Amino acid sequence: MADQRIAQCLQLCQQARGLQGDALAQTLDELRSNLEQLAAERNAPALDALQLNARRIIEQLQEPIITMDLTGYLTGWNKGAQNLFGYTAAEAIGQHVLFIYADEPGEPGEASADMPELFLERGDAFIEVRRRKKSGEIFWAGLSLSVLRDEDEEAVGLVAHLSEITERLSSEEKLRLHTSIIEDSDQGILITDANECIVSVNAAFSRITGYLTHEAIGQTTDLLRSGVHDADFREQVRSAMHGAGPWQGEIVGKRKNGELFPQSVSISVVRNDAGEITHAFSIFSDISVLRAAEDRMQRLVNYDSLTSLPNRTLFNKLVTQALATASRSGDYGALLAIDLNRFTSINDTFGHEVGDELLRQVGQRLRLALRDEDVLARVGGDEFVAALLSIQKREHSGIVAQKLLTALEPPFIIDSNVLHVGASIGIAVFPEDGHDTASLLRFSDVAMKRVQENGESGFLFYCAEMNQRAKEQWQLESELRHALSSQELLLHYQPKVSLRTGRIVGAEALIRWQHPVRGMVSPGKFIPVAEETGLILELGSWVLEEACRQIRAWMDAGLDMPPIAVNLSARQFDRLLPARVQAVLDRHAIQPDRLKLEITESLLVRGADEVIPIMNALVAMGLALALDDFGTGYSSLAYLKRFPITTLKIDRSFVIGVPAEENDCAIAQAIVTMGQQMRQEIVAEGVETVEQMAFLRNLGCDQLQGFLFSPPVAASDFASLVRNGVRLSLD
Amino acid sequence: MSSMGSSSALVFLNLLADRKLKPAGVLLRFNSEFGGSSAAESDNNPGDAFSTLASRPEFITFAAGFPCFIATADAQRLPPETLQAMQGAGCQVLADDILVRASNPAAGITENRTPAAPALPPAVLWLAGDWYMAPPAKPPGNPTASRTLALKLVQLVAADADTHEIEAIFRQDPTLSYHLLRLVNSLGMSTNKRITSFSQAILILGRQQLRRWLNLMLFAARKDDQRAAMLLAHVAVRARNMELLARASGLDRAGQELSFMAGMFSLLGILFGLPLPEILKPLQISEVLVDAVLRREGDIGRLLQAVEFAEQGDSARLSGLLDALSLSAAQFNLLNIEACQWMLDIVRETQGGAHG
Repeated sequence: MADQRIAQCLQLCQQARGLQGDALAQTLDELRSNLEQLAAERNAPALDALQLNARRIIEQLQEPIITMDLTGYLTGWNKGAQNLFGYTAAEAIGQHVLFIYADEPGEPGEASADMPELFLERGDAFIEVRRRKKSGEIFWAGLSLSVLRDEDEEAVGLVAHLSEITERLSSEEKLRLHTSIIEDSDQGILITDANECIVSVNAAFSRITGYLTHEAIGQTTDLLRSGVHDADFREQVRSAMHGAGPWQGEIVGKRKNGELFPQSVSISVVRNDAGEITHAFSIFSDISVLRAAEDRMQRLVNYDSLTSLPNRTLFNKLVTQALATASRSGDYGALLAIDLNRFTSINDTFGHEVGDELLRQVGQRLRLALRDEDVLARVGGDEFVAALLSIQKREHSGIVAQKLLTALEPPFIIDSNVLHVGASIGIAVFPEDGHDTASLLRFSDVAMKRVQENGESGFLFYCAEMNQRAKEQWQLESELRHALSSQELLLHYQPKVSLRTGRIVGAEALIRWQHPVRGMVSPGKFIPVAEETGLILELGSWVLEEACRQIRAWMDAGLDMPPIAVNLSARQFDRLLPARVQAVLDRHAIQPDRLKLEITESLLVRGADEVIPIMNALVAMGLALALDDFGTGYSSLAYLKRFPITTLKIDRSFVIGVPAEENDCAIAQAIVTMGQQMRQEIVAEGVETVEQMAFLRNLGCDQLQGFLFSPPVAASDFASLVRNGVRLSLD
Repeated sequence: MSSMGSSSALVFLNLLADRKLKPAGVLLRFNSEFGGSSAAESDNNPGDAFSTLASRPEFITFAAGFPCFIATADAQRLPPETLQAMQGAGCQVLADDILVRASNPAAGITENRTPAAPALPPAVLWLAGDWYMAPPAKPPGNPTASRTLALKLVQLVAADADTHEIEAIFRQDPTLSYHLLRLVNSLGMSTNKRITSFSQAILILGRQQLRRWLNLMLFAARKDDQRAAMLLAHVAVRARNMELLARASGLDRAGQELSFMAGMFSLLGILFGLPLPEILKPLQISEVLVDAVLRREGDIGRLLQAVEFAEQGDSARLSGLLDALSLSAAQFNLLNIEACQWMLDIVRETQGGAHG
């Protein structure tokens, strides 16, 4: 009986060689059912030989056949599969079948791309899928997948047979498709022959121009000529139609009713096998809605044509809007009036063209020195004004002013003239100096005039007291810069203890600045300056590097230390962050679970789409993310769920209030409850009293950090706390 | 902290199957001896343990949703007011004749997969014992994932759900979880990275590959395996117990995650009918996890031991371990209830999904 079956299989194989398409599939299905029968009959004495034979047959088949176990790991890979994919059986068997799946183009939008494969669950079906060869080539394959069952009808594996689909469309289908694409297109299409006579138009052509097909055919394109273009322009278009290369642009045409209309046109040619141009075709759309023209109008009204910066009108509009928002949210803002020194003399000496070019370049440098959200406008001859719409502290506007002055320091080189130009900057601060754009502009102007009286570059605040403060900030910044390079910075470690056992389970690394003269400078004082000046990036990298160095040092000393948490500033959080962190981990040979990253709620406000991919990459690396200062922002539970955050830190401002303040207790309770629902770890920060600890522990908080157990301490002190097994008493 | 151990006794929880071999109730016991009373227990006070439990809202909620029983012999040892409190909390006393203990593969049960095992006398409503832990006569080989859960995952992925939600499904199914980790390693995505959590594996794999893989799993998935219901419930209780125990003993969130995985993966050998080291070989998982699961070493290994002692009803050795962990028996009893509650929740959710 088995012999008969094998004979039949062999015959089917023979048959298969000469077949294609559906017939081939049918034959193979028959073959498969025969082989399955063979497999089912393997209890018979001659089983092994039979099986071997069947196996050989499959292995030698030119048709690609792949078998896998029920979870998709490849168990069989025949000749055909090897020929198709380029992998040998030895390379393929044991791999997961996903390794031959082709990547779908455009990850987010491809939700439906794999859908056909889902329908396989209905049983045997023939579908088309994208697969990848060893060479990297991606191709379409016909796939039929079925379940292999053992004698008990128990599923034991999967068998897939694949065939490459080379020509996705028959030429007839293609023709039909192309015709309907042309005919149904929204864009007008016009085809001319070598003599520039129209030979074909589509429905959209008639709709746009008013000419019916029979009215257009046989005419030249002069039919649509408006007469507004000069000879040069017409020559360009004509040469495109004669094969000078594809052309795109705007042409004003004339409709049948005489009306002129702007059209966006692209022109290409069709050549025959000999390379001669047989036809030219134009694809055009009616843009008489003239959005472009409107835009141009807008620009004229709102922008300075010389520098392309906003003009006074737009500036007033933008700033007035922003001030309204800022006064609601309690933000600070500042207006900077910037006047170039000695500009008139440059204009007189070198001429207007040089002067204009100088203004353009000044505008560019100022723009580059500002943040994207700041507004810069040119409001007069050599007068610029900048609006900083959201700053943490008023005095930070002084830092920005200094930055602008620094940006102007390098000489401008125009027509081989080397020009130096300084500026006077006057600053008015919102809301102290004024509430509306007009008065802020006036006061910043007053302050700017005061600078001019000195005759040197510089900046002044409108308010005298602010000048003093700004000076201090400015000094702080330059000292901080110095501190970074001269090892005045160090890390302290504040232990976190478990509220279940009292044991130390981690620590937060906190930056300290040991100033040679001023002593310890509070981070509250220098971090905002660092944020404002961009120094935070260097500071952040330094902290990460130093923490990892310390972790490595502890490991080398044979100490078993808990993970260390490092704070990340929102500014550090960009697409390259995961790679930067990985590099530091690698440099110090540290496992990612030794490090935790703390981020603040303000980062989440930047939007899920931007930050989630970065967070996901960090988590995929094996790092844990904690959300700092939780409760101070406005992230809701539903929002928070979307982020791969595993630890919530209750902000100290709520901890202070427990257990006395009812509101704070309710907030702490709510945070713990939702954290537990999401299986997040809850850490209370700033715990100072036993009462607070007892309350938080009862709520179900996991850990605490605060003076009750320990202030931030030097690395060596932290190590001895851990080494001595110092615990928090929970009683 | 130290003096909490001896005041109250341990309560052991045994999952009971109904006649369809589905998890359907819990038997609360004093000790390992089934329904019996051994002298070794006398220094503890089981009455206290039970009355403490009866007053806990967690237990009352649990007992309201899932039948809880006390064996007749145990009930007789309880002070009447304690028994009354337990009954008030929703517990019933289980008559001996409707309960059967099958510690050995009541062969007919595991192999036939018939809903009502022929071996059971007609009066029997409940089945106790660890029959489902015994090696099956025929190794299931490469068991496939639960179809219901795979389908649910496909839906979640199609809806672009959060990683949290997807992770929650993986936590319910050891087979899916195992294959997820194996796949990440097989596709060469975890180059020298040790996987320490399910969410990490999900993120490494990426949504596109996850969806394709699930489609394939769905194609091969069997109907939810009848035999496995009790075993899967057992896995769920153990994994969750490990996680809660890790938390209670002060391990951080990463440690809790690993403990959960340890609980789940420690039973893969029984689930797949293969030696555990062989099953774990293709995974690139953290050393801590391997040490715990294969050798009962490290903090997590110790927790796994505690959970196993509890399953075996070995109160002497369990008490010793709990003392070392500074955990009271009362705390431990409550964790057990919480773990059972979680199992119950996911069983309900899965069944709900199957019909909805």
